[in-house]
Amino acid sequence: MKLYVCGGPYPTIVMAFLAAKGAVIDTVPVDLIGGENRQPAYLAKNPGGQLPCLELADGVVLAEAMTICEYLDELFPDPPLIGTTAEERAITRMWTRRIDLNIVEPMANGVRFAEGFKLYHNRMRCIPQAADDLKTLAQERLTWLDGLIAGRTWIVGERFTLADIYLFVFLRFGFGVGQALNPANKAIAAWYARVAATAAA
Amino acid sequence: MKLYTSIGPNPAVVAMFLAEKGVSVETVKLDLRGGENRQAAFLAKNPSGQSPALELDNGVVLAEILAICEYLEEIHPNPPLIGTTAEERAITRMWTRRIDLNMVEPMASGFRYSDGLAMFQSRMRCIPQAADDLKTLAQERLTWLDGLIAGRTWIAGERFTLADILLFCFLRFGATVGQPLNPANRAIGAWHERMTARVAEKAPA
Repeated sequence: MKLYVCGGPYPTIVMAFLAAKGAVIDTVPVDLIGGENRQPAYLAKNPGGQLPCLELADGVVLAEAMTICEYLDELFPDPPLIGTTAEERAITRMWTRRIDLNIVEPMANGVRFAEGFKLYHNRMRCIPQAADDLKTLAQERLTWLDGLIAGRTWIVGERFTLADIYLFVFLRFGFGVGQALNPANKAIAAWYARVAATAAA
Repeated sequence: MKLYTSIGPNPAVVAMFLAEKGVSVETVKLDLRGGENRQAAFLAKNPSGQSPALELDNGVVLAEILAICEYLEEIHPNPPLIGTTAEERAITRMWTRRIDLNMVEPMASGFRYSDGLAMFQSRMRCIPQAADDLKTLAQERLTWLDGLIAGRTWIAGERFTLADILLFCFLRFGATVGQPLNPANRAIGAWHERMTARVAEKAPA
């Protein structure tokens, strides 16, 4: 099993997930800045051209960070980071998708369409006229999330899960590209400090 | 167990998933056009205000269609629509997420920010200046998908999965809001005919 990685938040999520599991797997660095992930050799593995991807021993390649984490959770069940019952897993997946669609996607596209425009504009359709609104949207949804997690230790409640890793890695990425956390979001700020003290950070 | 549902492609995904499973659950219809899903009673169940949501017997409410379908797969494993091994499940989830992020989201946001603007502008932040590009993006990614599924029976290969259901429900929605399938995408066109025949048999609307 081999994990193809580069700098950037998506590979970091999988690495943080593995760190929280205490698991180690082989990694192969890919030159994202140089565009190695858009060359035929890599596209033959992952036609999405995105990183990371996980090549299994039988040659099957799994792409998409969330999918890879689900697979790794099945392979390395302890400690559980998605859940140990159908209901626990569903709750984690619900929060992960809320974070995915409401916060991560607008935040990441806001960067690709603005600060990252030079790198991305000939790799994908960019929508620069949407960048400001996308960043604002991500912040508004963070404020919405702040109200929902007040009083909780972790995003889903008392279990530390993939949802925590996912949001933490993207917020840290956002901080580096001008998308600071609104200090009024006190529940998220306190939660962020708790995640920063875990092995996943 | 109670499924809060409404018009729209998202509830249709869960309904088709249940029909494929041969399972029926109690449903409660929400008045989406009238904004019942944005009122306090429903927001207490699903703070996103989105439909559908699945209320379990212990009062826990599950939202987000893919999370709901994953849950239904676990409690009704046959026929499998996600997978029976970790690898099969991962492959289905990979395709589902590709369709979700590359096609469904830009298609749905493109609709909300233009044709659906009158309904959505007071319910969420809309980005009308992105609508045209989002629709184009969804079409470009469909063309990308077309090349990848040529020669396959279903999206993930020879297994019929949640990925097929997700894409079909959103293409059906797109066709009604000015986002029809490009006929040059012949592999998707052929897949769509197989889906239509299957739905007529197993999950009539």
